[in-house]
Amino acid sequence: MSQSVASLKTTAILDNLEDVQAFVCQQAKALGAADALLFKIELVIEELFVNIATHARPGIVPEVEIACALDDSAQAQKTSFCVSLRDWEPPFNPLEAAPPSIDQDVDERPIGGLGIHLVTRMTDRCTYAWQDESNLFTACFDF
Amino acid sequence: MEVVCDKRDTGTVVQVTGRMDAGTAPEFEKECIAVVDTGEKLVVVDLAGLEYISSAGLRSILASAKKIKATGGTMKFSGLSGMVEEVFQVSGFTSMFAVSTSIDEALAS
Repeated sequence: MSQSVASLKTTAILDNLEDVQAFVCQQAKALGAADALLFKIELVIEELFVNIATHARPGIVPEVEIACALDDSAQAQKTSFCVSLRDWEPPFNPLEAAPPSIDQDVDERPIGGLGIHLVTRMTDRCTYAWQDESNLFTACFDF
Repeated sequence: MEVVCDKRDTGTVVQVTGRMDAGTAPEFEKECIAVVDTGEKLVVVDLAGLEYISSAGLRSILASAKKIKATGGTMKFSGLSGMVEEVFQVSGFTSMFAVSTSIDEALAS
């Protein structure tokens, strides 16, 4: 079953990103994540954290809660490290964003839109839910 | 992140080391645009010393490449490895840009 091992509450501002990445990577490492997985975790945290800051209400510094867990439930094919980011901003499901066109050339290709693409490519599973008046995004990485 | 620009005979080499993330990526774009503003037509971005890149870094690279192309120039890359190479691949950047194994190869091609 999924076991929450540690959580952190902070504000989604760029100055806090490094501490959040360090916190999550420390938890992942303690739970047995290989070094090769850490860069993916670090990258996914940046994309999700910056996303929360970007989509906050104007003039609001959003609060975010980050929770780390080990998922070794019967439903999980493999043991996974899962990290959830929860914020209390208006509903926003990043997984509904249109996928970027990655085969266009420099002139045609729009700037931006790669963040959630990297999240889905670097994780083994990710889910979004609107739960208890909050956005809850969970990203899982198989060991 | 550190960005060092080196003017050579056939182009300018922009060497990037450290981490290109949401905090540092705008600095790369600023340095690249300063090079383009000198009239440079070939910019080789060497990423051999880059340890980490996020979508913010990709955004700055694409914005810089668009600016260079608009002036008739070209941006090429060298020294991709590890996570930087993987992020380039899954984002389609390895097929969008000319990528060489070395700076000299990129300057000569």
